[in-house]
Amino acid sequence: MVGASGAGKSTLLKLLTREEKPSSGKIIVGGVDYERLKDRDIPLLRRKIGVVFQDFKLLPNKTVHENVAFALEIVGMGSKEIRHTVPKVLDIVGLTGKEKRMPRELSGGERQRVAIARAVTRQPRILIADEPTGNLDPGHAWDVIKVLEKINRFGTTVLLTTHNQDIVNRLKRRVITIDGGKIVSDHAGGEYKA
Amino acid sequence: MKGVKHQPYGRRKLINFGRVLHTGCVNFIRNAWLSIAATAVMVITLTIILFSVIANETFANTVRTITDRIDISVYLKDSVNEEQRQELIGRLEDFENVQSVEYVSKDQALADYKDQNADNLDLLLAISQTDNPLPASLRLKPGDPNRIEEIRQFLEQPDIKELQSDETSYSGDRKEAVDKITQATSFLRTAGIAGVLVFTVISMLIIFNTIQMAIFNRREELTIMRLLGANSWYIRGPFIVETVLYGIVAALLSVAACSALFTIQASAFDASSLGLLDVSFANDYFAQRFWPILLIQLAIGVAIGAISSFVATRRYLKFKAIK
Repeated sequence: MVGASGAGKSTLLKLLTREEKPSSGKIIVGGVDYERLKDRDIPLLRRKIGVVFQDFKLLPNKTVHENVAFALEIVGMGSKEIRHTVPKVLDIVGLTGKEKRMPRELSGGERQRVAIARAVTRQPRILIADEPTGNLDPGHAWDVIKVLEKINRFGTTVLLTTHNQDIVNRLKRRVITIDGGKIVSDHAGGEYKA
Repeated sequence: MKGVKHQPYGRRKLINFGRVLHTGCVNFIRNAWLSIAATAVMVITLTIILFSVIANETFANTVRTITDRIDISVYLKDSVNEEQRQELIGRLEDFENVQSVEYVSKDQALADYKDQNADNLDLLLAISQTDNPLPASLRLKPGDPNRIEEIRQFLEQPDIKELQSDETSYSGDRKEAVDKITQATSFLRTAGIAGVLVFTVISMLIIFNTIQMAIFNRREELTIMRLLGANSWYIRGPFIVETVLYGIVAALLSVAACSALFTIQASAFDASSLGLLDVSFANDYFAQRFWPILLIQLAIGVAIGAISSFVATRRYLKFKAIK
């Protein structure tokens, strides 16, 4: 999903994670009508959608392992299973060996990969990535995109917003362009059109 | 959801509870500086409360001791016969503010005198060479020492006055002292209780504020946990565990500090009396009630910690739009 700053990309993503409520219209994701969602169901909804943010949003007082494990702990997974699952996910994002680091000891690209590991460890159907490469230099940005592609191959829908023309053109995926809060184009093997 | 095996409900509750406890303890250690700062404020709070209570109790005890000592002796002429005496006792006992009347006969007065002056041979010899010179007396205990004046007026009535051999013994200097003590005591008791309350409230506000600030610094963490779909108790729990730990550690330190202080000052002052604060009483009070005091301190610490973190986390846990 592309669009200029202020076009409404982030707002759409916030609507999907129920950080904001729509002033009008209907939202249905995976058969769940958000209008019927009660406050106490919001945690359950968020557990089913993986989200990756531009500013990573890692828990600063937890190690890499604990950050990923946290996502599993809150859905009540047993400790043994968590110890088994987390290394596998960290392997997918290429962070094996850095389990005990604190987020502040990692580079931006590594932090973003921790965030991705955390988002996918519960095997969500959808992974929302809001400008995940926005704070990264091109080399690290591409690492992150490759990880997202890998996750998509495993069968998770990835909704990526970006400003980066280069990334969009190289990915050759469906591109939705948003402007002024409305979809202005939707192409299958699309290219970035400013 | 695919992939994640759900544990049975009860077991999951248990796992969650264990994790909340564990996370709280880990945070307590990882946020060492914050823990030290918050615990220090809490130690001061609890110590102030403890000291205020002990000081107030000690003071109340001093007041009790002094008030207990207040009595009035009515000295009777030797000519007063049994019947007159019984009548006077009856009238005094009927008087509203008189708690008790004790008759001290001449023989009894002499025996008391001998007891009191057992070491002083001169005084003993002086008295044994004459007839018993001591008058019989009635010893009155006032119900309310603040209202001694009423008794005085009662005893001044001419028909009672004529039975007395000497001035009633509260008169003169002693009456003034008794009056001053009784005035001071009621004021100081009230002031003591007010002091404890004021100190408690102030220190509770300080600790509340400290913990609120500590959590404010970590609001980002709370927001992230919420975005990941953690429910309120799972987020709040560790914070509460952490602040409850501040309370427990602070209570232990505070009682330990007081304990040490009492031990040191007990030997320094050698259980002497410092004016109205009877140090040895404070010592005994603390020593005899050590375990209850420790328990109450723990309870206060835990309560302050839990309530303040509960309130402080509240505002970050509402499911409203996040800016």
